[in-house]
Amino acid sequence: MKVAISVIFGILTALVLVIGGYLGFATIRESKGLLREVDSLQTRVNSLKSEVAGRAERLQEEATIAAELDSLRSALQASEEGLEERFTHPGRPTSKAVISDSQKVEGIYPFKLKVDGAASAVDSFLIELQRQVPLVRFEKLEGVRKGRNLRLEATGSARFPR
Amino acid sequence: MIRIDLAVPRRRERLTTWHYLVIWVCVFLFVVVGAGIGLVFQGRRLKSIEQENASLRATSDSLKTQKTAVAHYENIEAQYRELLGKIEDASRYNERYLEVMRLLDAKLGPRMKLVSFQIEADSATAMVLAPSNLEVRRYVDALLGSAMFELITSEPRGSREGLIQHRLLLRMR
Repeated sequence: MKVAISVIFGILTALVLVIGGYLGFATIRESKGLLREVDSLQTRVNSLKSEVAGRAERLQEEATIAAELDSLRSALQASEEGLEERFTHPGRPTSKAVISDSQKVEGIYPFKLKVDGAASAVDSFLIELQRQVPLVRFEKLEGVRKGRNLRLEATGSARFPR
Repeated sequence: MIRIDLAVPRRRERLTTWHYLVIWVCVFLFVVVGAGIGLVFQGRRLKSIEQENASLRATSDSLKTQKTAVAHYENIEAQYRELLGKIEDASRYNERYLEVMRLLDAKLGPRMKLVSFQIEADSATAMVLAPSNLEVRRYVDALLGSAMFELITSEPRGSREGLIQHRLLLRMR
């Protein structure tokens, strides 16, 4: 009888020890895996924090900058679409422009512009042209003075971003 | 010969079956309780690590979202600055042309006339009429004084309207 009790309880105790040991080791293994993950997450979080630090505050300006960018792009688009009208002026000074659209795909419009009028009016015309077509670039200005008048021939290109 | 056994017969103390059962039950319970307590502690520790993990994962996700937003903002800002830079650059570039054109007019001396000019990116030529070579000299000095030009050479080109015609070659800074 005693032997039977010893065998039964011995087996039960051994079973409990084996199951407990297995569960214990499994938990430890899982804990170690999780701790490694925690370490790597902590490193990633620290790195992300340092990347974002000082820059996240600027996110509040995003709406403003995005609106300004949109407005600038719209202005440039309008400028490109109405390029011919912006170069020609029916009053004084008079102006004629030949604009090539052979490089339209790249957004480049070479031009030859003739302006005729009072020197100060020609100067104002060129300033206004610069305002209306902000990405215009002169290459050559050739002028002939006739008294107070100036006959100006300008070559250059308007370059729009693509 | 008579042998006398003087030893006192002792009753052998042996564990009964019940004792045996009780001891084994105690051992078994001790092991079960010990293992249970150990597993509970391990489980708690595991849960706490899991919570820390989940919290860090949430922080990481939130920071990642923030980083994406920051990258998006910086992309927009870079595009805006680039466009603005191009416009300012073009404006500065053209302003040089206009400035040269104005200077050629503004620095003319009395009775001097500007006949024609040609302005390019780094040089300009101008045809002027002046009553004397001295006036041309003064004109050249005045232009050099503007700090826009680094070298000016002048060549007389005959006379016109009773004035000496000079061709000026200007190299811009």
